Amino acid sequence: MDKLLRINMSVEGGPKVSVEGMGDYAGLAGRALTSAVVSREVPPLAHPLGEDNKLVIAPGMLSGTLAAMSGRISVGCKSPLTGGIKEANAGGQGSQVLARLGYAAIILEGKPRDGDLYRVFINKDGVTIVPDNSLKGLGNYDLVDRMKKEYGDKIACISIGQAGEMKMSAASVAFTDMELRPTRHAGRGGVGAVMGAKGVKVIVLDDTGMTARTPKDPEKFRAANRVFVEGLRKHAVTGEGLPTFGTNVLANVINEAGGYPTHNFLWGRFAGVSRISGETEAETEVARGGIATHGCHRGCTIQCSGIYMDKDGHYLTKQPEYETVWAHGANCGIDNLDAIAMLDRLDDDFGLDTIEMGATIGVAMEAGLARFGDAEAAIRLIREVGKGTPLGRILGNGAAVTGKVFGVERVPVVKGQALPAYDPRAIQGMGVTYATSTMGADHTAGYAVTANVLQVGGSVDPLKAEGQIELSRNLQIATAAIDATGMCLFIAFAVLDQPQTFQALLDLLNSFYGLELTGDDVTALGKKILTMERDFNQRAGFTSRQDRLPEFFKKELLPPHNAVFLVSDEDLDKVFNW
Amino acid sequence: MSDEPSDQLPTNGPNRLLLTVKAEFVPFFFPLLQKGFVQKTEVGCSLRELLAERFGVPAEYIENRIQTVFLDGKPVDDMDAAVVRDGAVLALSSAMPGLLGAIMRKGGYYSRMRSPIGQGTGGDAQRRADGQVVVKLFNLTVRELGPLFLERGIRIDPEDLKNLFRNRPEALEEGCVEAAADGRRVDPAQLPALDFPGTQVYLKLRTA
Repeated sequence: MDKLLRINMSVEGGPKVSVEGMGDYAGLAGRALTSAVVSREVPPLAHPLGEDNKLVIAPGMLSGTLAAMSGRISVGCKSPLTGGIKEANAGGQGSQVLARLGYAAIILEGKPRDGDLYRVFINKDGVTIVPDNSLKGLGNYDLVDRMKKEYGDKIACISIGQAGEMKMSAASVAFTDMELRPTRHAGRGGVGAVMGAKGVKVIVLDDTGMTARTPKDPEKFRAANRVFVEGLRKHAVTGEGLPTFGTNVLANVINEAGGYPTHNFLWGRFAGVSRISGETEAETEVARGGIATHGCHRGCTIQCSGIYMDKDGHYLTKQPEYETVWAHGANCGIDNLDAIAMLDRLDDDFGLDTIEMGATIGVAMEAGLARFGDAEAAIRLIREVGKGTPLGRILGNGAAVTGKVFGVERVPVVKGQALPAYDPRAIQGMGVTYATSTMGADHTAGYAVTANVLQVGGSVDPLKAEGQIELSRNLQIATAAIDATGMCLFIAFAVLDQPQTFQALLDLLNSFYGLELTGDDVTALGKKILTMERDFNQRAGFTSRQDRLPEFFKKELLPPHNAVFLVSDEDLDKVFNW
Repeated sequence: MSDEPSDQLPTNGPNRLLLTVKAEFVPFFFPLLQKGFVQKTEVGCSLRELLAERFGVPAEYIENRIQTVFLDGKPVDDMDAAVVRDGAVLALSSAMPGLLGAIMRKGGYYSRMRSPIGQGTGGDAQRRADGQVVVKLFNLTVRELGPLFLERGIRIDPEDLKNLFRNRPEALEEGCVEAAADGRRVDPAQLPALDFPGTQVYLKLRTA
């Protein structure tokens, strides 16, 4: 994984492929690499859909190795949704396969002059890129079936659906899973629209003939991996809760806390939560012959995903996860798991971010386009997006655009990106991260290994607003670093609770690269990434005014606790003071 | 869990449903436990006392397995300080994923990020008296404590029970061996057609 693959789509006579060494990017991977390339090479004032923007697809530091949980991939660009820097993160097979092929990143540059749509094929022998307009208008599922017929089933695909082709700001980039289905998405920020603007429909990866990346110290690496996996398996969350019920196990608890946004963030509790909870979802999956414990990529030991069958026992979609079930469920007043699973399937097929689309449908319902709770109407609205009707084009550009078009005041976005499934009025610390993240409202921005393990930021006074600020800061730093490793963020619990598991993670990195990283180095990497991202956003015109929650969070009481967001603007502005 | 004769079920009176089911069929009833069920019990005691002494949950389980607790919608950090009032709503969960899981965990490092919803204490100490609490079981506690509460007997909304029966009647017929409603034997296949007047039905399971 020591080379960069650049594909310049602007070149007269067709796209030009070049392979180069890492140069100044040596040692970077995942989010660290995508943000470094975007920050350094993309003019901050470039139009996100223009030729000067770049789409960077980068496996993590440990991707392609035999390390457990190392299959996350980062997709970076200037975001058409936020106007700032973006890193969207996905599971699936793409990260492992691309890393084994030796590429630290694919960088799509320029813009085709001919309006053609291209497919890219990469294997051990090199790269081919050909125009293929027969792929125009295909959903991700049909597209992957076409690629399977042509290249066999030992491939991994990176693709866009109709939403990406139409350059919608909610468009995702899809990655195929172990079953070669396009179910894993770099969802946030409209990265699919940028891939569409580059004229690339699909990148097919085939690592036949390649082997796992070799560590500098194989024995130490194996030992560290063993301790790491043991740590994950013995922990109640990563070894039991997540494998048994998936991420949607959170639904009941967040609802009980009064922080489960319902009816477009009007209430903090949803009466129908037990019908769409992770416990019910897992039971439904098993009863129908699906799977409730399944990984999204090879080497996943947590297995928080699953397979969701319809009432007749036929495959419908992968197990919709917590954010998706919330966005299309409680947020829209829908308590029908089958309808939510259908919405998830349509989002995956059209290539759409499920969080953005659930939030958008919620805003559309608030505007009167449909009744809250009307599952059929929600499905109809998503189909409008796939067809690209005028209404669909509005919805496909996200909650902020939809709110503006239909005159809705309660629009839950930060930097133009929809809030995920935790109401910041009930969980203030999460609100700090939503407001200040470089990515727009993002629940994963402050998620990972943290202060009590890394000892970053010193002690925190829980009674002061600064406590919230400092915790959010430390979480964002640690998360940025984890995003660079290619590790799934769900390792955070075991790493958080078990110092030996955190040490095993460091040992994996050190034995693979021959380094002597400490917790301080991990912290420094996280700070470096965030600094690059903040710098890009500032040059793109962002000020502290973008680091704010929408006004209604400060004014409208959220039942049942009747809380508002209390952290002051002055305190929010301290998050990145280090 | 205490196996003392249940005080949840009246020996006579309307809306008593006693089911004998195959052991593997017990999870069929778990959705009822997420939504919440009523337990008659002495109230005015601490949360730890309620769980350990009234419900018979082992101390080790309370300490290590129950990682997230809500009392009247507020997360609880101190099980000894939290007092259970009459009519309280209690939700129990094992460890939860994600940052939010960490924030809601009892006594967790990140509990400070949850303010202003604060900590559930159930109010000032109250006189001990007979009363009732609503219990909700989430995550692994559904599987681990659920069968024990079902055996002890629970009071639930009749509509929820009817919906459960009507959603999967074929499973009910397969998994339920014997049924008795208000002391009279009922064909398990007829359970979806039963009507339960009033606001509560008393459900108790036995495994065959």
